[in-house]
This record gives sequence, C-alpha cells and structure tokens, in this order.
Amino acid sequence: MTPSEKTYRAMLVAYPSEHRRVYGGPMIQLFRDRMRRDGGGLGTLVVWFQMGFDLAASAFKERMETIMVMKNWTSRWWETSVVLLGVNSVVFGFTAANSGFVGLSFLIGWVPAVLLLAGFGMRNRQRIPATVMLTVGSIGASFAFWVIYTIVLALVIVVGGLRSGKIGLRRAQPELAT
Amino acid sequence: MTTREPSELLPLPVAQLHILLALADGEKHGYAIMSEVEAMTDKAVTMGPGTLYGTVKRMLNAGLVEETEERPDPDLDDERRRYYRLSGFGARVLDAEVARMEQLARTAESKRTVGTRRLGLEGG
Repeated sequence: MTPSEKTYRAMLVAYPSEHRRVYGGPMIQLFRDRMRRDGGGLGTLVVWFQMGFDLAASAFKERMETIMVMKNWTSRWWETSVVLLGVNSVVFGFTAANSGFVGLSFLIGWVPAVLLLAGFGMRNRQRIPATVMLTVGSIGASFAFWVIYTIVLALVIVVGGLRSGKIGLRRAQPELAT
Repeated sequence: MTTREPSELLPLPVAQLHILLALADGEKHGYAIMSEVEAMTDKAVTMGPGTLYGTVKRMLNAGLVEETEERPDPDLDDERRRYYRLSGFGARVLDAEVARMEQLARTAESKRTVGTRRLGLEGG
C-alpha cells in the first residue's frame, strides 16, 4: 500500500462508521485506480486536490444523513416515552389514591399525567404551551418514579431486610435441624 | 418489486442521472462508472470515490440499481470488484428523466426562438 493510499484510508474516518464498513474498501480501490491512471508528479497533486474536495463534501453529506436518521429514531422514541410516562403516571395516581395518599396522587400522579397527555396532544398545534406542559409534567412524573419509588425500594431493602433477618450486623445463625 | 412511479423521483440529481446513463449499456464496477461518466461529459464531470459510492448507496436504497456478483475485472487487475447494473425500475426512471429533459429542451428552444425574435437578434 502506497503512502497516498494509507493517507486516504486514514481520512475515511470522516465518514460514518457504517458507510466506511460497507464502502470503505471500494472507495480505496477507486482511489488506487485514479492514482494509477492520473498520479505521478503534478498529477498526484491534482488527484489529491480532487479527492480532498470530494471527501470533504461527501463526508459532510453522509454525516448529515446519519444525523437525520438519528433524528427520526429519536423522534419515535420521544413519542413513545411521553405516552409511557403519561400512562405510568395514571397508574401511579390510582395506586397512591387507593393507598390513601390522595394529595400525593394528584401532585405526582394525576396532574403530571394530564399535563403530559395534554401537552402531547397539543404539540403540533400550540408549541409553547405544549412544551411547558410536557416539561412540568415530566418533572412531576420523574419525581414520582425516580424519587418516591427509589425511597420505597430503599426502605423495602433496608427495613424489610432487617426485619426478615436477611441482612443485619450480627452473623447469621445456622438453621437447626429439626 | 418496486411499486413506485418513476415520476416520483424526478428530476433526478445530476450524479444519479450520470450513473444511470453509465449503466445503461451494461453492468460496471466503480472505476468503470467513473471513467464512463468522464467520457460522457468530456471530462467536465469527474466523480470521486465519496460522491460515487454515496450516490450508489442512495440509488441502491431507491431500487434504481442492483449489485451483482463481486469479481475481478480482467482488463484491470486481479482485485475483486463490486459490479452494479440498472434495475427494471431504474431503466424506467431513466426513460422518464430523458423524456422530461427532451420536453424541457423543446420548451427552451421555443422560448429561445421567441426571445431572439423579440430582441431583434434573429439572423445575427
């Protein structure tokens, strides 16, 4: 492999990895063909000038396409996440209300659920109110899921573990055979 | 089987039109496509590897071209090369694009005649 080919191969890092994996080999082959035909002396400089321009323009285009694909993917997951969080907040509202925590069920259950679902429904028509609703709703719902649930789970692990004897500061007693 | 209408892809980007024309007379690998495009355009268009394979990728996705078996070109060297050929849909799109350009050329010609007459330049 010539130094020119090595340099060109290294420069392919400008392309997205998937494009490089599929077309990297043929691109190097085409570069080699061009150098074989037009390279040598000033020709090498001309080929390099064309290749550099081609690489910069096409790598930018490929990167932009990859970003657009990622944007579509993110968009799909965004919608799914909003709906799931909204539905989960409804479930949390029911659970908290049934357990006697009516205030809590509103604060971090029903209200975030309504805000999330209303914001989701309005997102294409009224952008600013929808953004505010989704942000406030997400914060409320996150509080329910990431703070309340974390505290409850931590309490279950520590208190439940201590009470059941699964954890403790004393050595576990071997069970006596009956 | 592609169910799209050729008109959905028109007008074609210039690079895609050049590649379709290069493949119109048979399958070719990357270097042969590049050389054919240079010959067709009297070296006015030289496709680099990035433009060529980026365009080929989009044309494969659109069903305009197909990849055939990988094999060496006996005229060049013993390296294995990827060959591409026009698909049935690609041929229909090429026909539609050429027809569109012919129509455009006729319109341009008629307007040029009218414009020349209006400016009093007819007959030099």
